[in-house]
Amino acid sequence: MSEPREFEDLEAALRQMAPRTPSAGLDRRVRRLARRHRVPVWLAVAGSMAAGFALAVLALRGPDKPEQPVAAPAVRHERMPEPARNMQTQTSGAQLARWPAQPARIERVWFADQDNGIVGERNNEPVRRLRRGILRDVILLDPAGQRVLRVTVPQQETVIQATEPY
Amino acid sequence: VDAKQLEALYLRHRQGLFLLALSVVRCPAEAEDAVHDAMVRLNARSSVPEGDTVAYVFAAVRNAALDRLRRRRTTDETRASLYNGHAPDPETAALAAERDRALREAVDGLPREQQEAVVLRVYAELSFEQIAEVAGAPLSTVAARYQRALEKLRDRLRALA
Repeated sequence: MSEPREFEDLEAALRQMAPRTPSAGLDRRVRRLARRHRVPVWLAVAGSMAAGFALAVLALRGPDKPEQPVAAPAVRHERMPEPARNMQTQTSGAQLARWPAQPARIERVWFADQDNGIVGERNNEPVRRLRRGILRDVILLDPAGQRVLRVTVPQQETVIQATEPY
Repeated sequence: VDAKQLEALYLRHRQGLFLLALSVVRCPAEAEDAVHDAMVRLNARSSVPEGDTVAYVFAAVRNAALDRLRRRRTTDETRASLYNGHAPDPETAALAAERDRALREAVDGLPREQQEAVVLRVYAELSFEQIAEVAGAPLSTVAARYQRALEKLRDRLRALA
């Protein structure tokens, strides 16, 4: 886009003025953030996959074998719970169009982040509270017995993070 | 964008990111908090959408600043200037002081969206395409906002002359 030449002097004058700059404190806060050990999403996903795999092994055992006790899910939902409707979605399996030839697992994870801002102080440093609501929805399909096991587990992670005081 | 890339991106655009937040919340401390909020959120994300990463980070800062503005409980209108209160070079200060003061006041007095366009174009040195992405507005709209802002600043300087 071409800009009117009459404004070039004006833009130059604006650039020569001294706008406010962020403090060194903000630079430190951002650097600290970059160095902070993240509780990675992959860890949570890996954990849920391991749990899903264990559930799948229990659920998909043949009918001739004795029933194995399966840990009761914390919550069971026929529909997605209300708070999850605005959450983001990650899908690790395709939608079921027909029974698969092999046992299958569909896992969906919804999560939503909430920043509560500064909530107090510890060791004379303000601390910020971050909350992440996570909802894992695991569907296990057994084509042999045409059985479906669905487990929905809500979870909340809370992180208290020290921030740079002014 | 990993944490290191995000930090590098911040260091390259720190002034523009800060001024963008300041143009929204009009309080330096809160503007820094908004930039930090955005960095926290970006750092927590496992991926960013495809497209212009710089514009995406600016948009994240803008959203964080707007969130803070909405969360304000009081109606007390903080109006900190975008500029420092002194001229950088004492020798030229006398000559440029009046013009700079008028320009400062004119920029500070612009409507928020026009001021945002000036900040993103002049101080963040973003393209109009990037500004449109940050503001979530059509290219023609942000170009018109910028044009109107410069016209107002020019008129202010002409009135001074």
